[in-house]
Amino acid sequence: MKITEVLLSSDKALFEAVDAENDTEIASSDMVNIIKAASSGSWSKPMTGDEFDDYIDALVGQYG
Amino acid sequence: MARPTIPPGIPNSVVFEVGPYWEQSLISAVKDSPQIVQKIKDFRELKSKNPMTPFGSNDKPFIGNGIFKQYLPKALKAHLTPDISIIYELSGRNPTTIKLHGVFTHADMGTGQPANVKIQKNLAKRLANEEIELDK
Repeated sequence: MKITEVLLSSDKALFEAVDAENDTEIASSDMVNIIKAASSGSWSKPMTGDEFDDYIDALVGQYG
Repeated sequence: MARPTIPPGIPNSVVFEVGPYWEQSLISAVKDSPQIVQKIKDFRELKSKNPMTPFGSNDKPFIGNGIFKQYLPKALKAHLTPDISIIYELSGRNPTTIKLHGVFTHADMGTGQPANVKIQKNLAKRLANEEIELDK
Protein backbone atom coordinates (compact mmCIF):
# COMPACT_ATOMS: atom_id res chain seq x y z
CA MET A 1 0.00 0.00 0.00
CA LYS A 2 1.37 3.40 -0.93
CA ILE A 3 1.52 6.18 1.62
CA THR A 4 -0.17 8.43 -0.91
CA GLU A 5 -3.15 6.08 -1.06
CA VAL A 6 -3.54 6.17 2.70
CA LEU A 7 -3.26 9.94 2.80
CA LEU A 8 -5.55 10.52 -0.12
CA SER A 9 -8.20 8.27 1.34
CA SER A 10 -8.46 10.00 4.68
CA ASP A 11 -5.74 12.48 5.53
CA LYS A 12 -4.78 14.33 2.40
CA ALA A 13 -5.80 17.74 3.65
CA LEU A 14 -4.11 17.21 6.99
CA PHE A 15 -0.92 16.04 5.35
CA GLU A 16 -0.85 19.01 3.03
CA ALA A 17 -1.45 21.41 5.88
CA VAL A 18 1.33 19.82 7.92
CA ASP A 19 3.70 19.61 4.99
CA ALA A 20 3.21 23.27 4.17
CA GLU A 21 4.36 24.32 7.63
CA ASN A 22 6.67 21.54 8.63
CA ASP A 23 9.91 22.93 9.99
CA THR A 24 10.11 20.46 12.86
CA GLU A 25 12.87 18.13 11.60
CA ILE A 26 10.30 15.31 11.73
CA ALA A 27 8.81 13.82 8.56
CA SER A 28 5.42 15.25 7.67
CA SER A 29 3.91 11.74 7.61
CA ASP A 30 5.07 11.22 11.21
CA MET A 31 3.71 14.61 12.21
CA VAL A 32 0.34 13.67 10.76
CA ASN A 33 0.35 10.50 12.85
CA ILE A 34 1.31 12.45 15.96
CA ILE A 35 -1.51 14.94 15.43
CA LYS A 36 -4.02 12.16 14.84
CA ALA A 37 -2.82 10.29 17.91
CA ALA A 38 -2.97 13.42 20.05
CA SER A 39 -6.47 14.16 18.79
CA SER A 40 -7.65 10.64 19.59
CA GLY A 41 -7.04 11.14 23.29
CA SER A 42 -6.23 7.45 23.71
CA TRP A 43 -3.33 7.29 26.09
CA SER A 44 -2.03 4.39 28.11
CA LYS A 45 -2.61 4.18 31.81
CA PRO A 46 -0.14 6.23 33.85
CA MET A 47 3.12 4.44 34.64
CA THR A 48 5.67 5.24 37.31
CA GLY A 49 9.27 5.53 36.24
CA ASP A 50 10.05 1.92 37.17
CA GLU A 51 6.91 0.68 35.45
CA PHE A 52 7.86 2.64 32.37
CA ASP A 53 11.35 1.10 32.28
CA ASP A 54 9.84 -2.39 32.59
CA TYR A 55 7.38 -1.58 29.83
CA ILE A 56 10.16 -0.41 27.52
CA ASP A 57 12.23 -3.54 28.21
CA ALA A 58 9.24 -5.78 27.52
CA LEU A 59 8.33 -3.93 24.35
CA VAL A 60 11.83 -3.95 22.92
CA GLY A 61 12.26 -7.59 23.98
CA GLN A 62 9.23 -8.59 21.92
CA TYR A 63 10.94 -7.38 18.80
CA GLY A 64 14.36 -8.81 19.63
CA MET B 1 -6.90 32.11 43.46
CA ALA B 2 -3.58 30.98 44.82
CA ARG B 3 -2.23 27.68 43.68
CA PRO B 4 -1.97 25.07 46.44
CA THR B 5 1.62 24.64 47.40
CA ILE B 6 3.36 21.37 48.05
CA PRO B 7 5.08 21.34 51.42
CA PRO B 8 8.88 21.34 51.26
CA GLY B 9 10.41 17.91 51.30
CA ILE B 10 7.53 16.24 49.49
CA PRO B 11 8.75 15.42 46.00
CA ASN B 12 6.63 15.96 42.93
CA SER B 13 5.66 12.58 41.52
CA VAL B 14 5.95 11.99 37.80
CA VAL B 15 4.04 9.47 35.71
CA PHE B 16 4.37 8.53 32.06
CA GLU B 17 1.72 7.80 29.46
CA VAL B 18 2.27 6.67 25.89
CA GLY B 19 0.11 7.52 22.90
CA PRO B 20 -1.12 5.25 20.12
CA TYR B 21 1.83 6.04 17.84
CA TRP B 22 4.51 5.53 20.48
CA GLU B 23 5.17 1.82 20.06
CA GLN B 24 5.39 1.88 16.28
CA SER B 25 7.76 4.83 16.30
CA LEU B 26 9.92 3.36 19.06
CA ILE B 27 10.32 -0.03 17.41
CA SER B 28 11.21 1.64 14.15
CA ALA B 29 13.84 3.82 15.83
CA VAL B 30 15.29 0.92 17.85
CA LYS B 31 15.81 -1.17 14.72
CA ASP B 32 18.15 1.48 13.36
CA SER B 33 19.61 2.64 16.67
CA PRO B 34 19.44 0.10 19.52
CA GLN B 35 21.25 2.51 21.85
CA ILE B 36 18.15 4.66 21.86
CA VAL B 37 16.62 2.46 24.57
CA GLN B 38 19.19 3.65 27.08
CA LYS B 39 18.67 7.24 25.99
CA ILE B 40 14.95 6.91 26.63
CA LYS B 41 15.69 5.57 30.10
CA ASP B 42 18.07 8.47 30.69
CA PHE B 43 15.29 10.83 29.60
CA ARG B 44 12.86 9.05 31.93
CA GLU B 45 15.24 9.26 34.86
CA LEU B 46 15.97 12.97 34.37
CA LYS B 47 12.31 13.86 33.98
CA SER B 48 11.34 11.74 36.98
CA LYS B 49 13.66 13.81 39.15
CA ASN B 50 12.51 17.14 37.74
CA PRO B 51 10.24 17.24 34.70
CA MET B 52 11.16 20.86 34.06
CA THR B 53 14.84 20.08 33.58
CA PRO B 54 15.67 20.14 29.87
CA PHE B 55 17.10 16.97 28.39
CA GLY B 56 19.96 18.76 26.70
CA SER B 57 20.01 22.11 24.97
CA ASN B 58 17.54 21.05 22.28
CA ASP B 59 14.66 20.23 24.63
CA LYS B 60 12.21 22.89 23.44
CA PRO B 61 8.67 23.52 22.18
CA PHE B 62 8.11 23.25 18.46
CA ILE B 63 9.36 26.21 16.49
CA GLY B 64 6.48 26.13 14.07
CA ASN B 65 3.25 28.02 14.44
CA GLY B 66 -0.08 27.46 12.78
CA ILE B 67 -1.14 23.85 12.63
CA PHE B 68 1.34 22.59 15.21
CA LYS B 69 0.32 25.20 17.74
CA GLN B 70 -3.31 24.38 16.98
CA TYR B 71 -3.09 20.62 17.37
CA LEU B 72 -0.02 20.17 19.55
CA PRO B 73 0.03 23.28 21.72
CA LYS B 74 1.96 21.65 24.56
CA ALA B 75 4.30 19.50 22.52
CA LEU B 76 8.02 19.58 23.19
CA LYS B 77 10.83 17.98 21.25
CA ALA B 78 14.11 16.84 22.74
CA HIS B 79 17.08 15.33 20.96
CA LEU B 80 17.90 11.90 22.38
CA THR B 81 20.84 11.81 20.00
CA PRO B 82 21.84 14.29 17.28
CA ASP B 83 19.71 12.28 14.85
CA ILE B 84 16.78 11.11 16.96
CA SER B 85 14.16 13.15 18.81
CA ILE B 86 11.45 12.35 21.30
CA ILE B 87 8.17 14.27 21.20
CA TYR B 88 6.30 14.66 24.46
CA GLU B 89 4.04 16.87 26.57
CA LEU B 90 4.13 17.91 30.21
CA SER B 91 1.08 18.65 32.31
CA GLY B 92 0.02 18.98 35.91
CA ARG B 93 1.87 18.77 39.17
CA ASN B 94 2.02 15.97 41.70
CA PRO B 95 1.63 14.05 39.67
CA THR B 96 3.18 15.63 36.62
CA THR B 97 2.10 13.61 33.60
CA ILE B 98 4.53 13.19 30.74
CA LYS B 99 2.74 12.10 27.60
CA LEU B 100 5.04 10.49 25.07
CA HIS B 101 4.05 10.79 21.42
CA GLY B 102 6.93 9.04 19.75
CA VAL B 103 10.60 8.73 18.87
CA PHE B 104 11.69 9.83 15.43
CA THR B 105 14.86 9.78 13.43
CA HIS B 106 15.76 12.77 11.35
CA ALA B 107 19.20 11.76 10.14
CA ASP B 108 18.11 12.03 6.53
CA MET B 109 15.82 14.96 6.97
CA GLY B 110 18.25 17.80 6.37
CA THR B 111 18.47 18.60 10.02
CA GLY B 112 21.91 20.03 10.25
CA GLN B 113 22.29 23.32 12.02
CA PRO B 114 20.21 25.10 10.93
CA ALA B 115 17.54 22.68 9.76
CA ASN B 116 17.22 22.55 5.99
CA VAL B 117 13.49 22.78 5.39
CA LYS B 118 13.88 22.43 1.65
CA ILE B 119 15.60 19.05 1.99
CA GLN B 120 12.92 17.94 4.45
CA LYS B 121 10.16 18.88 2.05
CA ASN B 122 11.83 17.15 -0.86
CA LEU B 123 12.31 13.99 1.17
CA ALA B 124 8.70 14.08 2.36
CA LYS B 125 7.56 14.26 -1.25
CA ARG B 126 9.84 11.37 -2.19
CA LEU B 127 8.57 9.29 0.73
CA ALA B 128 5.02 9.96 -0.36
CA ASN B 129 5.68 7.87 -3.45
CA GLU B 130 7.40 4.98 -1.73
CA GLU B 131 5.68 1.83 -0.64
CA ILE B 132 5.18 0.94 3.02
CA GLU B 133 6.39 -2.53 3.87
CA LEU B 134 3.61 -3.50 6.23
CA ASP B 135 4.83 -7.06 6.77
CA LYS B 136 8.23 -6.14 8.22
